[in-house]
Amino acid sequence: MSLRDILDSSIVEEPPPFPDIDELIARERRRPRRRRWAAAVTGTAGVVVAVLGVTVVTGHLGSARTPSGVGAEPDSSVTASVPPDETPEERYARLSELLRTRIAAVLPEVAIRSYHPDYSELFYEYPQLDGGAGAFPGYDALMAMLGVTAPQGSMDLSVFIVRPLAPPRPRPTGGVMGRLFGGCAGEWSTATPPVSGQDTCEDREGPGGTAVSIAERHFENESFLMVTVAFPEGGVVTVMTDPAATLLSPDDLVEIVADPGFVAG
Amino acid sequence: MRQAEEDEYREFVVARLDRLRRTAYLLCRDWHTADDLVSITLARLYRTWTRARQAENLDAYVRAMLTNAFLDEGRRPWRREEATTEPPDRADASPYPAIVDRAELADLLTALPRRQRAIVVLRFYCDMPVAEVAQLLGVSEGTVKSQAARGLEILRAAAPHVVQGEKA
Repeated sequence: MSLRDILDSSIVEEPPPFPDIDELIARERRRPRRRRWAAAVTGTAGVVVAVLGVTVVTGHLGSARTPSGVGAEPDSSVTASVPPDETPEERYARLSELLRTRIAAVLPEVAIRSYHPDYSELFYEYPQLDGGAGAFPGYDALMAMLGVTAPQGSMDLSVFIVRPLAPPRPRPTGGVMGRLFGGCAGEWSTATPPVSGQDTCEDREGPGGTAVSIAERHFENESFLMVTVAFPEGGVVTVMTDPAATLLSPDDLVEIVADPGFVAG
Repeated sequence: MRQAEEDEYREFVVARLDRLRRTAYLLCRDWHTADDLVSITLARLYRTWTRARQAENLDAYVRAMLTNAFLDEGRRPWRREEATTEPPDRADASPYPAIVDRAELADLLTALPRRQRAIVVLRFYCDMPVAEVAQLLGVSEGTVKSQAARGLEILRAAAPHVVQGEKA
């Protein structure tokens, strides 16, 4: 018996089935697309405009569906925890901590890093969308671009919060907010036609009276998974990621962002 | 990658998958981690296949990728493991001597530091020459020889009747 045979015989456990080689090849074929997406996420503000442009273009046109309870009073338990005179910096810190906590609840061993080179917090204001460009009049917009790493893998996320600036919170029926609240219904008839036939969109009721839509859109060079949670308080949180990423499922993403604390204050 | 190259890649991988997995298992002593290492290696190989397929010794090239993946993984916080001087307790001692030897051997291998374990596996399981192992791991040939000799002593302790003629 050779030494190699002895070492071989020390493998006393039966091996589990190995993943299909064709799956591995298919994953590697998709890799250039994932790299392009990561490059977009880690880019400059100009790239952010492009990414959010996709959100607006592929957003929910029309207002065919409105989440139940829109216009209702905000959750007092949440708003009570938000200081009335909260400064922007305090808000960035609060939302960043909230996002970290929510992600860690789903992925206990997670490491999170912001891709924005100039901010220590995850969230920052996105001036081009804060009314200045007229995209979200009456609302402010915050953005976080982050990398999430856990023992199981990693993925990149863009988290986008749109919140009414002042009460009473109007029921959003028009403009971009109307689109964001509109769910899937208006999207296929009026949005930019999808390049491929692989696009999907699903509306569902979310926790706490939220309305959730999960859309996967494929363009010529990019693909996006967009999970949108519309709160009865009048704000919206959208998460965009690469549909090929598997670390967090769409349901995980809903669980992470379906917290009224994101749009409170 | 062209279809012909991809077919060639698939054929290469399928023919060597079992051996690669077993090598990975001997390195890390855990099938889940072993398959992670093999997946990482095969993914990297796919990305570099056009160039890698021209390597003089493609098998050695792939073994080097696998070993580097193993050593890289050991540096990650969640993979970090501590070498122990004592093998772990074994609760389910087998009444069959041959099985006991194999289990003891497995425990002794597990107790080796990662780099020494890699040297033992590359030298005695993959039959790699000392010079190649030294180049792969970025250490001197003397280091490979001395660590392999110590590893051999450990193997002899577990299987003295079959390891007598081996050289480090």
